[in-house]
Order: sequence, then C-alpha cells, then structure tokens
Amino acid sequence: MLKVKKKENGVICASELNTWNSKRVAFILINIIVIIIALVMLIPIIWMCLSAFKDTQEFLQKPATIFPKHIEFGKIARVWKNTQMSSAILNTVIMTGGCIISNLVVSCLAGFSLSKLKPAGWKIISKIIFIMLLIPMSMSTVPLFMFFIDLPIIHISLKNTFVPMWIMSGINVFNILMVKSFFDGIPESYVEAAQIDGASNMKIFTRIMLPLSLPLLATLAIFAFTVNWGQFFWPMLVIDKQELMPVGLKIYLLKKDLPIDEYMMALLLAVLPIMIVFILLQKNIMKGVAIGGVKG
Amino acid sequence: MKANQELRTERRMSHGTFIKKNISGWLFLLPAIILLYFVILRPIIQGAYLSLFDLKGYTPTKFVGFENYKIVLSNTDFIKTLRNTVEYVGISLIVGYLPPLIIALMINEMTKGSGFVKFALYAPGMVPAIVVSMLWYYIYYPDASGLLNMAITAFGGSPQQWIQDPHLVILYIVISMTWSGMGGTMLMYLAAMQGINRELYEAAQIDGAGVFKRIFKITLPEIYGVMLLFFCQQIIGVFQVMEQPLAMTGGGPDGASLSLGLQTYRYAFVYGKTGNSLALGIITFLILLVMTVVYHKMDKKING
Repeated sequence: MLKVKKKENGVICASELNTWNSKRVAFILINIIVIIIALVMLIPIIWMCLSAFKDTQEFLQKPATIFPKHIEFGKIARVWKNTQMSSAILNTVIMTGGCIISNLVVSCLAGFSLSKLKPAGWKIISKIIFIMLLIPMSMSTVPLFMFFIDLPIIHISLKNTFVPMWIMSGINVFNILMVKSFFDGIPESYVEAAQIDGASNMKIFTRIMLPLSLPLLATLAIFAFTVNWGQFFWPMLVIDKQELMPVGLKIYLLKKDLPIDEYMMALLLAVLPIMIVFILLQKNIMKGVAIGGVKG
Repeated sequence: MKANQELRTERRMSHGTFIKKNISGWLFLLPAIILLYFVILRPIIQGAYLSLFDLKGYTPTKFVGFENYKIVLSNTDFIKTLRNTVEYVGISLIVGYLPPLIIALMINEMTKGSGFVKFALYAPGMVPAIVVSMLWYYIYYPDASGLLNMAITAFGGSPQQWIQDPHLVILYIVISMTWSGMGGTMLMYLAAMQGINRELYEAAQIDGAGVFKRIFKITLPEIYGVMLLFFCQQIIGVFQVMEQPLAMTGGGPDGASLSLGLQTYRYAFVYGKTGNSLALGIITFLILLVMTVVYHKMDKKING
C-alpha cells in the first residue's frame, strides 16, 4: 500500500521505509497526526463561515446545528449595509495602501544605501537597525500618541487621518534588513557599469535595483497588506469619526451592537479580502514567511 | 577577498565621487533615519523624561521626580498585573513554544500532502489579530451558543465559563493567540530544517544512529539560532500583550487577565493619568531591555 520512492527531506531516510518496521509505523502515524492537527486548526474559520449564515434563533437553539438550515444570501447584503461595510472597506484600502507604499519606499531606499552605496558610517546604522529588531515598543504608545496629536514645531494634529498609521508602517527594521540582504545578492558589476555610463544613483535604484527585485517587493507588499488590513488599536486612538473607521476598528466597536450571527457575518466580510489574497497567493506568501527562518 | 575588492573600488574612485557617494548614500538613508528617530527613539527618550513630571492631560505641569513610579509600584494592582503578565509569558511558552517546532519536525517527514497542511496551519495566521480575538470570544462564549459549549453540551456535558473563569482566562487567551501565531513560526522552522544537508542524515543512518539521535544531534543543533530567536521574540512579544485582553475580556473577570500593557493603556486612555502610564511603560521597557540584552549576548555565543 505505502510506497515511498522518493523522500528528499526529513530525518527518516527513504530506504528505511521499505519494510514494516517501527519507523514505517511512525511515518504513517506522523502523517495522520499532522492531517488531524491541520483539520482542527481550520475548525474556528469553518465555524465562523457556517455561523455567519445561521439566523439568531437557530444560533441559540438546542441541540445546536452544525450546518445552517437554509443559506440566505440576502443576509450578506443586509449586514454589509447595516454595518456600513463599504465605507469601512474603502477606508481600510486607503489606510493599508498608504502603509504599503511608505513601508516599501523607506525600506528599499535604506536597503539600497546600506547594500550598494555604503556611505561612511553605514556600519553603525546597520548595527542600530539590527538592535532595533527586538526593541520593545509597548511603552511608546503614549509618547507616540502625544507626537501625533501635536506634531513638534508645526503643531498640527494628525487626529482623524491615516497619517499616523502610514508613518509607523514606514519604519520596519526587519524589512530594511531583508531588502539589504536581497540587494547584496545583485552583482556589484551592474551598479559599476551603470556608474561608468554616468547614471545617477536614483536612476540605478529605479532602473536596475527595483526591476530586479520585483518578487521581493511583491512579498513585502503582501505582508504589509496582511499586517495592516486588520489594524484596530491605533485607529481606535486616532480616529473617532464614524465615516473614517477601518474594518478592524469597526469590528471591535460592533461587538456590542450586533446579534451574534450578524456579527459572525461582519467578521467574515472583514477577513474576506485577506483570505482571497491568501488563497490566490498562498505559495508566495508562505515562501515569504519562510525567509524569516532562513535569515534568523 | 571582499574587503580587497572594496578597497580597489574605493581607490579607483576620485575624491569627488567619494563625497558624492556619501552624500547620496545618506540621502537615501534619510527617510529611514527620520522615522527611526521619531517612531522608535524619540518616544523612548521623551517617555522616560516626561515620566518624571506631573501631567495634566498631555502637558507636563510640575517636576515630581519619581513620584509617578512610586504611585504605580505601590498600586495594589501592580503585583497582580506583573504576575498575570509573567503568567501570560509562562503559559505561552508551555502552550506555544514547542508545538510549532514539533509540528515542523513532523511535516518535514511528509512526502505528500504537506502543501495542504501548511495552508491549513498558516491560514489562521492571516486572520487579523482583532478578528482572531473576537472569533475566539464567541468560541469561548459562556452560554450554549459558543462553539466549545456547543460541543460540550452535544456530548452531554454542562456549559463551562471559559474566559469568565478567573483561574483559566489567561490560558484561554493564550490559546487563541497560539492558534493564529503558530503557523508562521512553524513555517520558519520548516524552512530552517530544509536547509540542512541531507547527507548528514544518510551518514548518521549508516552509522546506525536512531531517529531521535538524528533529531537531537543533527536537526536541533542546526537550528539552535532560530530556536533562540523565537524563544526571546515570544517572551518579549507576549510580555507586551495588550490588544487581546483588551478586546476579549477588558482585563476581567475582576482583573484576572489584566496585563502590564493593558494597564499602561488604561492609565493613559481610560483613567487619564498620563504620568502614571509613562512610568509603568518605562518599568515594562526596562524589564524587557534586560531580555533583549540577554538575547544579543546569547546570540553572539551561538552564531559567533
């Protein structure tokens, strides 16, 4: 029944699985256990999807049902309208879009400088950035909040704008290091050749470095998207206008107002964009996560 | 070799291009440095400085020395909050540190189906933290409509209190965090494991080393660096836990899930005591700074 011809990874070697022995039993058990774990991990998400389509009475009835009795698609539209989901999603798109742009621009500029230009003192900056990787940020909330509601010198408040989120997303030391190490892999000769042709550094950056690192840029963009899409804490602090709230904050505030089944639908609507992106791009996303393990 | 090359390029450059390179190099770094200062460094310095003042709203009114620290430390909740926070960290290490490693070891053995498994394990990691918290809030819902109580009553048991239970609330919050955080860690372990040279295992097999010996003598030593990083990251990350108890329990029942991070937030944004909040933030920061220093010391030992 079980024939393992090729096994390119793992501790157990393929040749050990040809006969019935303890390793073969362990191998089969491992496969079963892992698949069970994987299925269990999906239960909450599946439950969310199923619950979203039940009605309030069905939710509370005993014995509980697993599958909703009838699926009513009208409910999607109803909850979407009641929770003003369109404006929340639009706000989130603007907020997240800005976060992605600021993150990519700052990380790439800094990564390029540290990797190829190496101005005097770049080593100190690299060192500082490396130390910042693990610096605890929890205490910064209040001082940062004070900064955002009253910018020094110009005394402008950034309340009820997305700018605070854009600013904070701009600095991501892990991404700077990732861009730097990716740029390190691009041969020095490309840069030198362009320099001899009289190209400016900006031109080298936009015409050579960026086109060569599109896969990396895509990975960083996807990550910035997933990290920022569900933000609720900072939006809660700086945004108090209903019409500016992103979905994360909306979800947090709706908890008290909606019956449980409609709330499940709201949760589902809030994660849907991110889940679609994940299902479409899962290979790239998981490869991107894995980079962290290799670099670490 | 590489240093030599750099030296040669530098010699080839005239004095003018050397200066130009420096100026444009720093210009490219400028946005990152400005943000680094305003978002990371300045808040720490300013927070430490202002924590010595009495603040009215967000304006300092009077220098009070360590008065804020005294108030915060002598607050009856402080010891409880610190103990809760340590409990968050301890439980998260028990519940969440080894499982991703063990699961990665197991997935690493699979020849088929690992694509689906990785997808299923990482999918919760894509769900935003606030949605995770709210979803688990309803999974733990104390009447029969919560998922867990639904399952229990279906098997004839009686509904449990879950996050309303002061003794176990931290465990349950940590489980919800582990559910979404585990997949990413697992993928990173897996990537590190797949970087290990296959021939090592084959040689070990020929030498007659058993499976567990191979794991402990080959696999784990190769990924010690990653394991240490995740260990410290988890301690530092969970020690700052705030959003999850804020969303799921608000710190309750009766302060049983109150963490230092949440208390810092409450001082500033609920009670309006900015000075106290800053002081507690600095205390948390100093505790964690010790952790960060320990990590960098240990990392040097392992990675050289």
